[in-house]
Amino acid sequence: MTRRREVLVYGAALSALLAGCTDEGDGDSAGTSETDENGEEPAAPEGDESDTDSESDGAEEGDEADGEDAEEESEEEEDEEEEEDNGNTPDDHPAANGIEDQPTLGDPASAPATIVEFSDPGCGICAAFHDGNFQDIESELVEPGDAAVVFRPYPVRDYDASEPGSHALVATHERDEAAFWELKQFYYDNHGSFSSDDIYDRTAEFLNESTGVDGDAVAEEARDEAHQSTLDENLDAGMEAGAGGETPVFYLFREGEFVTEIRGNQNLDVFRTALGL
Amino acid sequence: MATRESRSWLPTQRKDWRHMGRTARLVLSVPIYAAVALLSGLAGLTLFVVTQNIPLVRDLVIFGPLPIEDRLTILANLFPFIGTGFDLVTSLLLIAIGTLTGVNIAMLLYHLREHRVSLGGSSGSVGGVIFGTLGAGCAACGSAVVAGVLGLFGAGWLLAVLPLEGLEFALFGLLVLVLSTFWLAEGMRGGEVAGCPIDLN
Repeated sequence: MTRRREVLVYGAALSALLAGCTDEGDGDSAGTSETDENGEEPAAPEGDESDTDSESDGAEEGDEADGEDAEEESEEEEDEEEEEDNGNTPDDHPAANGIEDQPTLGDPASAPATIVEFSDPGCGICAAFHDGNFQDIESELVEPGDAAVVFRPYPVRDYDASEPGSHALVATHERDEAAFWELKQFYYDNHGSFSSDDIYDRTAEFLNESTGVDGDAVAEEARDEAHQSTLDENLDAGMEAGAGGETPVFYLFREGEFVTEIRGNQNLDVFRTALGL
Repeated sequence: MATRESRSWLPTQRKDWRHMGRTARLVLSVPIYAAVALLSGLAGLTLFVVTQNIPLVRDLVIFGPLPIEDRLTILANLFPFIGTGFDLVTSLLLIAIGTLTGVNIAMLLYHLREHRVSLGGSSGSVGGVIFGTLGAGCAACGSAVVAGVLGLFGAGWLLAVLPLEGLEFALFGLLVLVLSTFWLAEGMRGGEVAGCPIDLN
């Protein structure tokens, strides 16, 4: 079922892309190709029209070709302009919807690559990934500035720690990002030991003892599910991207462009090779 | 050949296991069938690991801009004991499943070619391989597919309550392959393999 949805999404995306190409083909054929210092395209000077009046019929076809080339160039420049605003931050994939507000290691705008991780705090495979491979990626790719990692709590596995832990992670991130990463590791280091009865108390205790965050307030917000909208955004993004009910799932981007998807506890070599780093 | 009345359906006795092991060993003593077992087992294991990361394999191993050495690096690191995608127990299970898949296919091919048995006439043996293939596929895809399907219907908790978090599918696949190997051996009972008789009892 998951694979079929993936095919439908790709087919829809391809159809939309083709439709978009058709619409763009009906747009204006601007004669200019340079942007000014403000990044805006200057209006075509009037002298260009008088120059074309003296050309022969055969040259008209050349003009059309030039117009199409200029149109492509202007489209490329618009893309470049957009990329300059966003840097390398991925923004054209469901997995990247809303990542600007998510816990992030590194800088997606400047790093050549971005890894968006959908992970469940109660998942054993996620815990295994965060017990070695994550640290390798952090030290070998993130710290040198080659990659950024965006973590998206994605409670789809229905373990005792899945939803409460996800709520607590979001509530903690709202207060202090460093504390978020500490809490995330706390959950994975103690995978399998949480129950729905004790996770809130143990979360509060950990935050109070190990971070500067008010653990009791975080636990209360987690119980109240105060940040459900953030989790819903993650769930929607993950489902639309095709992650389905599995975790961990990673979406890799290189210079803002989607590269591929990786599932499971894969090692540094897989990530580094896939990203061409 | 053994009569239906004397044929066992389950390997419940030690002699059943000895018979299964001896038959498999005799088949694999023939070099060509050993090669078939090795290649088909490797192919089965490759299929198993690829199904865990189809987009990655499609995008970068089969297609995409990477040089050949990078493609092989990614593919190799998806395998048990080379990469980290599988824990120790799952890795051992996958190796066992791949091995039994190869043995199954080699035994069936031997039975069909050397004993000149038709597919219809060896329905038990063919059924064994089909069942074994189903089990192997179940082991490879089972937990991943089930997790995906259950998640779509909001029933991911079903996988969470399984004591082995989906590894049950791999164990089921292994069981099916063992049965398949046994049924193949039973189907070959009374004949000869590599010049050695396969006992009736």
